Amino acid sequence: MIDGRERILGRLERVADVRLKDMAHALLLRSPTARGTIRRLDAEVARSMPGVIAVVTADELRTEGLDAIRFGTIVADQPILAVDRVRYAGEPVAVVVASSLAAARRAVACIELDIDPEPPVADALAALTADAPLVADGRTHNELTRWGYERGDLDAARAAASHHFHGRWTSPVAQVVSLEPHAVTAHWRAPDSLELWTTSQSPSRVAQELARIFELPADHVRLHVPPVGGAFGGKNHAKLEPLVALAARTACRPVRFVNSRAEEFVTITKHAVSVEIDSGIDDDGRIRYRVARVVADGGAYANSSPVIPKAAGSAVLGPYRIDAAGVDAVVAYTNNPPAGSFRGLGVSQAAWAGEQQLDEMAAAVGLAPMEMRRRNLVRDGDRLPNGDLARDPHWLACSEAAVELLEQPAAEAASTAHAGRTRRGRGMATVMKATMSPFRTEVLLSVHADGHAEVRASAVDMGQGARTVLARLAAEALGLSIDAVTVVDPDTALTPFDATSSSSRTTYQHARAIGAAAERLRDEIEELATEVSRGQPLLAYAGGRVTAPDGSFDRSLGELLRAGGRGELVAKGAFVNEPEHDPRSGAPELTSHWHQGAVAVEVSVDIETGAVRVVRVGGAAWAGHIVSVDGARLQNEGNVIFGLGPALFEEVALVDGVPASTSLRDYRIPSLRDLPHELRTVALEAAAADHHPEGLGESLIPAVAPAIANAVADAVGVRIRDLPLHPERVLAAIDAASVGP
Amino acid sequence: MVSNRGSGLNRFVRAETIEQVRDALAADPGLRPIGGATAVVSWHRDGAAPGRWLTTDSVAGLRVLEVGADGTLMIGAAATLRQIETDPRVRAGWPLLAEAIGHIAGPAVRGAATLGGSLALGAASPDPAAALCALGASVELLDGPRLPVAELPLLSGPGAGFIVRARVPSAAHGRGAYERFTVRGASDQPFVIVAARITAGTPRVVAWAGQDRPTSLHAVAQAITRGEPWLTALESAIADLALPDSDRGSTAFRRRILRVLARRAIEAVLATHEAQA
Repeated sequence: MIDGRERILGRLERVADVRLKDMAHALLLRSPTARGTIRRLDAEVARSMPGVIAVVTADELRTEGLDAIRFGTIVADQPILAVDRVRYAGEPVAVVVASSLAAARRAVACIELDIDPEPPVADALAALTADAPLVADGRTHNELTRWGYERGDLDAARAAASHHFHGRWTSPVAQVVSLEPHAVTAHWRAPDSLELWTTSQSPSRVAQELARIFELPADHVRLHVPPVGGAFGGKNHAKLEPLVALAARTACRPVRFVNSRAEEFVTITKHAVSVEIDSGIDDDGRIRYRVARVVADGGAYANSSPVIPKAAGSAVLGPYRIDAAGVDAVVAYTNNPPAGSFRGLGVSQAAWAGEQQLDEMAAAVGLAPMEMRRRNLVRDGDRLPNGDLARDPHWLACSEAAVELLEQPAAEAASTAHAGRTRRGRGMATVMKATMSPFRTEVLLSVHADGHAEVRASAVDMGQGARTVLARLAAEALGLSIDAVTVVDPDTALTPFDATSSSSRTTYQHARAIGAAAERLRDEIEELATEVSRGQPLLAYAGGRVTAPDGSFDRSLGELLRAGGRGELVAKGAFVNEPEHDPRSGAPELTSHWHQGAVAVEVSVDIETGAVRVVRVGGAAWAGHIVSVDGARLQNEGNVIFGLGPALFEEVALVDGVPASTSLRDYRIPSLRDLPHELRTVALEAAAADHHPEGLGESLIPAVAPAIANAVADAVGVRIRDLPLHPERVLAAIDAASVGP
Repeated sequence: MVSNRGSGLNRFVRAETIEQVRDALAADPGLRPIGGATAVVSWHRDGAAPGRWLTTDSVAGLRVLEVGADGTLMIGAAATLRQIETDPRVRAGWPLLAEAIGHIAGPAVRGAATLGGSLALGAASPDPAAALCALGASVELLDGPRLPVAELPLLSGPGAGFIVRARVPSAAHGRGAYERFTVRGASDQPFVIVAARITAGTPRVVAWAGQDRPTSLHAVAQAITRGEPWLTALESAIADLALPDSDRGSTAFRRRILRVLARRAIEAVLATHEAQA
């Protein structure tokens, strides 16, 4: 990484490190209950305390005419502060701005808040019943969005199937646990000019949202996003920015706010999802039909939930040839903390169900899991379950590669501890994830008189190495050394529009945009060269130099610009990932491209305790053109490690909508001790040199949990349908199946 | 009606001698001793009220880690867990203790956390206590009796007592086994611990499953000594244990894991003991 040294030495400036003159500190008073009416909110004592600069409540929102304002990139339904009612435990009710955090803390403690609590709508299935209390304003039901499709003759397919299957799988609420919590610093440079530093993954769209909320011209809102300490989707869309901006405006001071770790648990979560699938196969194991119903818990406000039905619904049936297929996917409002993007965006929850049932089907007709996939995975020209053409499919190659990694000899002999009480098993899963389409990305690419090049893009580096990738893409496109390329961090005054740094799109989108910009820049370079050389023909640009074939002209980029009296040459490039159109119907396909991956695992199950240990993992993802070999490997390995936690122990328990714990002492994520003995991954690369790069950020994570569950089933003959696979759950399943030594 | 709650500040008193410790505790019964204070941060994040703390890291003689002429290991209350874990004498002579301590958090935390603080935390840090119990260790309190670890009172509140040192008998000719089970990943806090040891032919079996102090399963040890069916004694002992609720698993599951780990630990020490014999 180009900034690896700074990262390791802790020298990267983060949002919380930003220091502004007269900067004040904000703390929030949050609702302790999931649902209720605010009977009394008295901040008078707090306002008069030493160090307190301002207290903002719903009363101040009303005074400023902001009480009716709602924000949300897709569905604008979230108030800046709770007004009259609270809809989830943790919802901000008031914000205190003070000269110090200690003063703010003392003041928050003195705000008197009385809420008449009501029984919360705590479950998505219950929320969708006809008599469920309504969660959101202005709606007659709790359904937020729905997506689905039907294709093929389901009756005929059912008749053709000789084996029928039904199952229901559940995934719980989970937490992202980024290293850096959400943080925002807001400063009003003038009454109509707002500047923010934020950990957002979507600076361009958040800036647009803030301009709308505060009725500002678009170029009067400026967002800076320094490298972020992890996001994984949890920092997508506006979260705390409107609130901190309002606090800064009220206080007439720059204001800094950083979520505590406990507050992270109530800012954004991973959707709890239940999936039911009915499927049928023939005696040869060919899938005749699959029909799925997906129900997701979106929590109290929309955030990115509107896309969940499509994200999960498009992946649940897997990349298989199916005669007849149908999906009905819905996300519901509840009084739980808002759910949003989480690495994999609904696909993990979908694959948890779909890939387990696939193995159940395989076992029923005596097929090995890989053979089941070999018989059913789409090939080039086939139709995916929703009817889209399978363009450039590599799922079979990924599956075979993952299995092959596991077939290689183990690096060390298996432990013989408690050999009589443990069972080994292997399992696999193959997953598909649509990239959100269409999304727009713009970049500015420039070369300068000192010979360096600069990339300006609103791509957020959140640990995935975006800075390095952009530098490498620009270096490759311009034939320069990566050391000659500077990347400007997202700053909406300097970097052009990018929809979001999510959906594993940064490399894919920016490769195209930088390529387009580089092409225009090359034209400008050649034009300048013609001018400087006074019309010399056959000049060519390569490797950072403009040369004539006979050697009579040879200038570096810097020399060329200086000779031409230019300080810089700038070109803009843009790319929109428009999906293809179906050749039969002409309708746009669901996505511009699919992320493709497969994971194979070997587990050891202690049949006396239910403990599952992941021993070996093989993972293969389709990468297209690999920009950074190290980066690709780290993404793949990170996918697998990230997936272990939700598979084995991650779960936020909610009691009447309130998290039972908001501490990392109780919510554990994988540590070094949880890593498999062996973790091997491969990024499959295109043969064609001009193939575009594919995103790798989410290609393997959705496959981890179902692969482990399939391996557990192989080891002990029990199928577990609820996550996580904690020991008591596994042991109960073993007991039920009467598995003995 | 639901309301918010308050907060405040901590105060620290520093002692450099045992006499200063004695004087400070006498002057302020609400003062609580702390070692590396690793738990205090955690408490405050949980919303615990601030307190008055007596720091012990500078008290002369409290960091001692030495082996007496009779082979007894003496560990001062302010000795850090990392100090104990990495001491070659401990690793050679009392490997059960080194192993137990090695499970706690990570090296950075163990470099600050002390034995005294760990013992005072009770159920929040059971590993050293479980191992010390199995090793037959006792703890000296300031101006108080010397007590077996399993009989230490709860030291979590003000005025509860000040640990000076732990005494661990010579562990020559002994072998131990340490079984530990976690639910939420390998670095999670323990759910069940069993430490078993046979020293000079005398077995000790210690079980922890959420209690404030580990429990010595005397009846099981006696059954082993007498050559009687110890599994039966084990079942009975586990059934009689009063176990607290846990968000990591049901009480029934906890007893079951305890049964499995105890059986494995005892089988391991018996096998080693027989091999030695």
